[in-house]
Amino acid sequence: MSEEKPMKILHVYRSEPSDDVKTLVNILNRDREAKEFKLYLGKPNYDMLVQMIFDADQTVSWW
Amino acid sequence: MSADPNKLGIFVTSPQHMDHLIGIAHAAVRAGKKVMVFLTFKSVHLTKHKDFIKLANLCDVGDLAICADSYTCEGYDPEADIPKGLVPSQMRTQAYHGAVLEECGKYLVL
Repeated sequence: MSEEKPMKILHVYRSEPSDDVKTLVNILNRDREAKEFKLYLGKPNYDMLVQMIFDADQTVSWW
Repeated sequence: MSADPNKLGIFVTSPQHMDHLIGIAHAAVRAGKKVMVFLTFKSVHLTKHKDFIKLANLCDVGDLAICADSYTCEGYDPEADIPKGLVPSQMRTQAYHGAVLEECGKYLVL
């Protein structure tokens, strides 16, 4: 029997995450393979972001 | 209808992220993906942004819409003031958001 792969989740931050957001992200990340993208930093690499969105099973956009 | 795994739905509620919206939509098209965009709530002000026409030109008529009710709430006339680059049929209701969720395999909120 093959082992089920963990869900891949991507967190996109539109601003610097608050402590509350970090707590929620940690909860959401349980048993999942998590990545993040910080839209608010410098000049974002949109090509990389699109690739990450299509690689992920689920994308969560934070304010 | 099943969601298209190569289609990115972008649900826009904020009026602050025009650069991100254009950048992500362009990047998706470069990657050979389709893009479907719905602007609602305060984001309808982006229709007055100088770069909105770039977004309109990127999307097929059926893949870009704005919420007519939000447009009205923000002080615009959805019949007499159609945003540049759009046609009247792109002034839609929240049902369009349902279509985005149904048709797009990937989904992002801005």
